[in-house]
Amino acid sequence: MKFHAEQRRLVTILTDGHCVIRYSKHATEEMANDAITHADVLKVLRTGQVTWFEVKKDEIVHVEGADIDGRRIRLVVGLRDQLIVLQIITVMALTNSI
Amino acid sequence: MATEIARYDASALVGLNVIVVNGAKEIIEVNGEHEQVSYIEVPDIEGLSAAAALLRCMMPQKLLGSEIRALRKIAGMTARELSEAMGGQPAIETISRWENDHEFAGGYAESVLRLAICERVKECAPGIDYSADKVNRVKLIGNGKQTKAPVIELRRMLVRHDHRTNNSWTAELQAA
Repeated sequence: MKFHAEQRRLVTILTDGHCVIRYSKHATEEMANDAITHADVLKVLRTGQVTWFEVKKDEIVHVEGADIDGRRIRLVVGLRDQLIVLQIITVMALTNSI
Repeated sequence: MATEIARYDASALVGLNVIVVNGAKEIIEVNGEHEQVSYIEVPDIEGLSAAAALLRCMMPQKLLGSEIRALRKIAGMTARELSEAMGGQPAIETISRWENDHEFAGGYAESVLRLAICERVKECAPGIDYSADKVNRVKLIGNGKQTKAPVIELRRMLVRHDHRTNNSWTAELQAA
């Protein structure tokens, strides 16, 4: 698996009881447009694959996976502050609802 | 810089028509020299979603298709799992038709659906005064053809549950 270390780090953040998830305004607008909810985002974060990693101001990962109904979704996520904050920068549906 | 938001519309996050009262923060960060990015932070969105689901299922207005889909997702169920939780009836295709407003659930079917959802999420929302009996006693009004979903207002409060006191989501009317 590519980006194995980033995948492990994401799982560590998510299983931390103090993990905070912040959404950018842009992400919430995209979610409303594509009928993607927090439940879908969590499903992708927990079961999806890290497909990209880069370091800008923050460390950025792309996570791709299926929502509860099997629709493919990509998340762009910033990893912050001693591993406990996930910043959802944008969310996009890659396939239509099934 | 973080600012508390008095009333935040969390519908996009939850999928139901939810207003968070004094529970959300806006965090503005500067990227580079000029660009500002605004983030919203709502604590325990899973608990918020579960609390909203319980409250919605205890409201008398019939569920819209989009609300049925949102409730199913909050419960983390596929259409097949919801069908099974309802005793194998209705068929998955029927649930899909309800969710897309191509067909409207009958009163009995909707009551069974509401109970199946509530029993699945109740542990995540200790701040909501829920009982299966309350859901059973709801007299449904409307025919599902209405276009507006009722507003659910929630605020975060200290709630005692299982001999512990924790912050939980509570109905705004209960909190007042």
